Amino acid sequence: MNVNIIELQEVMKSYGAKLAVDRLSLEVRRGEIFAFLGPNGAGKTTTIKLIAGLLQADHGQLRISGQDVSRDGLAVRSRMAYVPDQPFVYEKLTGREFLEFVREMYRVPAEVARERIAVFARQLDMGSYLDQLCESYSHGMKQKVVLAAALLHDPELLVIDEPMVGLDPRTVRVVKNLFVERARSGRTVFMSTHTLAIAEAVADRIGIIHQGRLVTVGTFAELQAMQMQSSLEEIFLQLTAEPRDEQI
Amino acid sequence: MMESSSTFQPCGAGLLLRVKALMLRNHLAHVFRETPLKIVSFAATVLLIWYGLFILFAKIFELVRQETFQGIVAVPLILDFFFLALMVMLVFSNGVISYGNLFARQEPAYLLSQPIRPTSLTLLIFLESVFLSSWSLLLIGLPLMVAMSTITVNIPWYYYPLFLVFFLCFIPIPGAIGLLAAWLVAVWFSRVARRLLFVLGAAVVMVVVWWVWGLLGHSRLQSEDWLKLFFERAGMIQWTFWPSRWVSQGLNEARNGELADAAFYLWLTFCNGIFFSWLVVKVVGRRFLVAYDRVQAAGGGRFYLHSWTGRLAPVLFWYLPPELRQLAWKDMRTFLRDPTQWTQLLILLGLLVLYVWNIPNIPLEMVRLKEYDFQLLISFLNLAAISLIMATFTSRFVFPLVSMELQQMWLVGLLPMKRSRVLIPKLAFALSVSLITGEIVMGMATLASGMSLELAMVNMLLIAVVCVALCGLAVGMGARLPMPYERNPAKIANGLGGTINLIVSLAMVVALLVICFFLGVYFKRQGAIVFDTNSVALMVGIIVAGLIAAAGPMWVGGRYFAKLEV
Repeated sequence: MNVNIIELQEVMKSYGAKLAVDRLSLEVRRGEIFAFLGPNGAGKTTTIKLIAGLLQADHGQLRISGQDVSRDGLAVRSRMAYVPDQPFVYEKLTGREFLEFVREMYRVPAEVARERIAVFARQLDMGSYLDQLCESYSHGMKQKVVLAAALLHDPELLVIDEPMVGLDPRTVRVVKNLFVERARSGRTVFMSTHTLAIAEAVADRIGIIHQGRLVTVGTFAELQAMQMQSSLEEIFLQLTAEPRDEQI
Repeated sequence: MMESSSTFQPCGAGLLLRVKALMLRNHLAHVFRETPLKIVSFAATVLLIWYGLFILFAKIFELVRQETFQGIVAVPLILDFFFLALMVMLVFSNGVISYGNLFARQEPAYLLSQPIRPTSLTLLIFLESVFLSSWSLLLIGLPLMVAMSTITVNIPWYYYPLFLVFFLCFIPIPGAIGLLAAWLVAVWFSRVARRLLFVLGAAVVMVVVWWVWGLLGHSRLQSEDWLKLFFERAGMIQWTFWPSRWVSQGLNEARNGELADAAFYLWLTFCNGIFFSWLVVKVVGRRFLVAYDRVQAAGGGRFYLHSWTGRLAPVLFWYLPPELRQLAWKDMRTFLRDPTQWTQLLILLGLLVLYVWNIPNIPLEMVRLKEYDFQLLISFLNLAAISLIMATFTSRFVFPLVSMELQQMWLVGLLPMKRSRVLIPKLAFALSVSLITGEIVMGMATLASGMSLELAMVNMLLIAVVCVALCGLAVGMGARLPMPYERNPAKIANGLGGTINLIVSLAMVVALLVICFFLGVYFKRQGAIVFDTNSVALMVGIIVAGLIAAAGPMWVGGRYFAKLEV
């Protein structure tokens, strides 16, 4: 089995004249939590959408578990899960109906799904509202349901954009533990975040993207040694510095 | 347990359709439980529209039947024209809805990240857009069907079910063309997609106007030549390969008791509908990701005019206090920067200008009127045409304003002023656009028809009253019947509240036109435009009626809006 679950080689993507991702090469290993950091507009979400198969690279190769994302899209999507920064649920379904829909899409056996939903409902504290229409949910409640839906088929790879936005501190702790458990059991979590403390706390490796280019990648300790800085915040600011940043 | 992906079999469109059905069931259950009045008012509105259209169609068919020769020719022609016009409209509405559903919503992005074939998603979107855009055909088609039966003696029983079956077999064809057009636009013109759709819409409208005007404009020809021209032009809409022609032919055959011939046309429509839909869904589904990618990647900066338009705010809204002026200017900016809004208004106004341009060509001998009476008639027609356009504008663009503002309640709701005052800048914006455009077109119309200064003044005054009434109504109704969670203004305008607003606006225009008609009759009897006690009283009555029509809904809407919890 390939040791890398995500392989990007010289990937480029433009929006009109704007180059959003510039010759990005990156490898993410199985069983690791990878934090993808970068300023606003750096190319994080574009990279995530490329990995999820929602966008097609203008140039370069993109493989998940050794399979080409654009050629074997269906097989790739069946073994991964993607959670966007804006959680999507069908407003006119209850949370449980939405999870049942996801179960059928991924052909998870009903008994297995029932057990997993019960566990997620308990862990993420969703039991009180899972049978109400999603239109009445807050952002955080939707985020929990979407997270449960993403994990329902126990994907090899979880790609998640801003996982902690809208979640209460208790749930943040639960989600962090979930990520760590998944990594220990050989699954991979690829997350994009602006919350540096979370990246510092749970990520095995950290990649920083700036103006479409990967400016650094490594463990927190490696980044500290490379940049000669103690905190991730300092490292981040140093690597993504702009001329106007002198005043910070 | 990790599910095996090597043998993964994706779910088909059946699962997606089941989920949609479940959502519909949940929605209906919610509406029946929470707002039963909404259902009752919706049903009553539909029945009212059906009855109104039935009366209208029955009258038209009755008039046509009275002229024996024209009746024989015109009834099938009316059906041909109706179904062709409907096909064009359905292609456009399907195109617009499909484009939005394919590329502009969160749902396709979510489903494309799931293990579902893009073809299944395309089929779902195709069926959704056919369903959403075809209710109008049902709304207009049913009264037409019943009205048509009133002019035929011994109409066979199977005419009625066949009408519905023809309808069901026909709608996938414009649906598929619309879907294909939306996909083509995304692949090749993703940067200018919306503008292109409207330009195409304008082009089609211009062709229709050219067709109709071509017939009317040659009315001075000898009747034999005119008939020849008429049949030449009619041949365009009776082309054998138009699917609309198959439907109208089939229905004619069914009406005349020719079941076998009707069945042939039905089979033809059905086979083509199924085959073409299958083909388009397959093609679009296979290349869906390419189109989706192009639309997502078609960003880039847009050019906005703000250097000179910024100076308009203090001029246009000088009468508002500064905080309200900024709110009104925000709406005006949104309007100017959204081509979907101003291009639609421009198309409608373009049609009016075309009409105005041709007023001098209308031969007096044809209408058999004295010049003064003719001018009264023309001014009444001008008023009716501009009022109807303004009713469309306010229903489509002004009504959704309050609902859209509800998404900014975190900002607007906290401003240091009474919340109901938020409606004032909405009214100011709507009035500015409608008054400026309405008065300009009315001014052109009065000049083109060479009206006297007095009659021109009356016309300008009346159109101002209509604009005030329509804008007040749309803002007030928008505040009373808002859709707080909907972000798409087109959906707000097409929702229950928007539909009610449109119907009430049209009813109000008709009511104001009736009063204006009496004013016209009075002027006709006087033989000149005189400002005596009676005419002034009538005009004051019109102004008061217009003001009440604006202030009433504004007051009701304002009270509701002030207490609204979002």
